[in-house]
Amino acid sequence: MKLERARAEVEGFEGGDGPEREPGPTPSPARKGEIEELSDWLWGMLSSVPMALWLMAILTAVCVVGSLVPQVEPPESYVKRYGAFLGGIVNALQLRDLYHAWWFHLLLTLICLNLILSSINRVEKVLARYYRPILPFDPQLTRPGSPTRTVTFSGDLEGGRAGLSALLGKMGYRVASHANGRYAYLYADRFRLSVWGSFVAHLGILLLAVGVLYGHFPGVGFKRNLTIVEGERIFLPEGAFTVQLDRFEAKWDEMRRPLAYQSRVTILENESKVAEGGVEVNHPLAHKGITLYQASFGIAGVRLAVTGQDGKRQIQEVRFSQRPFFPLDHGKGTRWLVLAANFLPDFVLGPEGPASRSDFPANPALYLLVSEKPKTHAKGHGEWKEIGWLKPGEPVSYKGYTFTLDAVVSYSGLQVKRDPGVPLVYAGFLVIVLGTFLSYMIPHKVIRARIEERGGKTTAVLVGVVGRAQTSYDREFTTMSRTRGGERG
Amino acid sequence: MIGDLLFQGLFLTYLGGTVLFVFYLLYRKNPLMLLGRLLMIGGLLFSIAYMVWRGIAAGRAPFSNLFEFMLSFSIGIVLIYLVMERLTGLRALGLVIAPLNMIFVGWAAALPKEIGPLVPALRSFWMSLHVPMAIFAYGGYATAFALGILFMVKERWKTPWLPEGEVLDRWIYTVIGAAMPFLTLLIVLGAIWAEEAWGTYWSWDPKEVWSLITWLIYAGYLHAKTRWGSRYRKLSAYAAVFGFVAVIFTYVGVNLLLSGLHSYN
Repeated sequence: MKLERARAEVEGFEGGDGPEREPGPTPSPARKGEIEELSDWLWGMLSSVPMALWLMAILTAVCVVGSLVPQVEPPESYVKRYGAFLGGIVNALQLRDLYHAWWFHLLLTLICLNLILSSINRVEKVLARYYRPILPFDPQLTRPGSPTRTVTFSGDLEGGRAGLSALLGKMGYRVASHANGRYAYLYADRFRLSVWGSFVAHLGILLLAVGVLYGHFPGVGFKRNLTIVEGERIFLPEGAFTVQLDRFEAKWDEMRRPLAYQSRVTILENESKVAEGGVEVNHPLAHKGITLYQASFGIAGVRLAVTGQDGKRQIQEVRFSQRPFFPLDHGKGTRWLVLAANFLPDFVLGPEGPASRSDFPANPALYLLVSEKPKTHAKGHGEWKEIGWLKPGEPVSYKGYTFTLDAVVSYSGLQVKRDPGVPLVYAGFLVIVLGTFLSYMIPHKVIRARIEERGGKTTAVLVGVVGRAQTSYDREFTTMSRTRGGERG
Repeated sequence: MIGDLLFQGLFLTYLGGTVLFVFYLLYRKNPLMLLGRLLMIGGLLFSIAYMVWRGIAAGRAPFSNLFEFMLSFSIGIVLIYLVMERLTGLRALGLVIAPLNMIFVGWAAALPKEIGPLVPALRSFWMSLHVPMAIFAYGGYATAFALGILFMVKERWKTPWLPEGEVLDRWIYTVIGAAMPFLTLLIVLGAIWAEEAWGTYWSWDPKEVWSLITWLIYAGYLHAKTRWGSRYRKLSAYAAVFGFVAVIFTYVGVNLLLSGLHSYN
């Protein structure tokens, strides 16, 4: 049914491209079953251009909403931001994470369905345009405004046909011709491949969709964030190897603008080193199909050196995420408690007191407090005594103890992922771009000619077929006029 | 300082061109339009020289902050306008493009021009591919915008020295179509770069989302034209004009109004 309809449209339409005609009701000899009628209508609707436009419009509107409503925040924040009513709607419709909502996935599925069905529909039409030249035509009936040229030359009909064919052939055209006694017809076209442009572009989108689905299929790929402190290691079960952060380094300039972030990692398998390298933004590290990306960083803690009255030096590591305090053995059974009360990575004395100028450890300072009677303190009766601000190279003494800030311990936020769908996604990208170039940068050029011999003179009326875009046939017509001699039609 | 002189040069030349086009509207003397066009060419040469100087002075491609984006946008608009003016023969394009360009050049003039270090995320050869693609695509859409405005003017006032609406309409389709592969390439290159830099080719970041919105608007236009051809010409002129609003929002609106991975002010 559809193939015949497509053929009829192609043959019946003279003068080249025009608006795509909606398939009309098919007259059928016998009464169609209701199911058949319904499925025909459904197919027609789901594969139609208006459907595509509606879906694209909905997707556009949804995307606008998604860009304006902050995504992936806790539900309460929307109530706070938009009030109870709108906030409630945001949460109920899952607008707070709409790109992962089931209805969004449904929308994308419908778009893919529309692409698949419309591509199936169009294949026959495109094949017809690609393979079947349309020969007999009436120049009077061509689309108004089509570039036309009349060329006259001496010689007979056959000579004209052969000559014009040869000329067009030399200009890169494939020529089909046909004679029916009175007239000879030519159908010459070039860059035929471009008619496949939209088909290729749509195929590319589907390939992209497959790549995305494959990569996100549970069990196939994964993506997560790791936080590793300098010197520590984390085991990755998905790859059966361990990542050890040897060192994290951030570089900045005097204006505290970031210059570089780099993690130096070692990869270990079964306790032995198998690889090492750097992980930087724009320079990820890959191992066994899993890639590490530099995502974030921060200060995990500090390393302190405490020298007691007896001269004994003790290194203490304080982690800010855990207990930021440590005991100090004061002898005679008493223990003090030292608290890392505040840490400023980029210490600066502001109008309201100490503050941090940036997140970079450009001028680290640690504020220590000590409680000499921890047990009383736990019951709420003790008091914190100030030790002071520690900076590298500036030790602080307190009752015989000397505290030195030895080092700042950074952590590196790495994103770890494996996505075997990426090559498919890239392939999809390539195909889409190819399709759009074919469609819009390379016009399908068609020149049709009707040659007639009358009174010893042979005249050819040439019509350049123009689609929706402006296509110029000046060069071809000028060449033909010059060679054959003629005037503008 | 060479940079300052070059910038002043481009600013004044473009301003002169815009003024001449405005005078053309008032006095309708052809030499005014031709001179205006010459000044637009001059402004473009100044702009390119300035960007080259800036690139050499900074030691990297000049596409890293809002000021450089604005100037790149201006280059794209004027470059594509000059090319299209050659192809279409529509001198009147300058009447829309010159003031439009002046808005962006003026805005750029108000922005800080100091050359800063490149943030780590932008330290990649992808920057030299992804951002220039925007120049071509958005420059094309600016021309389509100008054609759309001319169409509306023709419709409303039937100005005799503008070509027929049908001709303008076909050119709008041609230009939007020609810009489409570049817009697609822009999004694709951005996605590949994101995969290399952040490990995710698409994270629904506002800039990415708005580039998709722009793509959908123009793809919708092209599909609608396929389906309804020569009908609804006025509607398609409006689409060309409003599509450009989406382009501007994608290019600068997102950076200024929404936060995300792409705010590089």
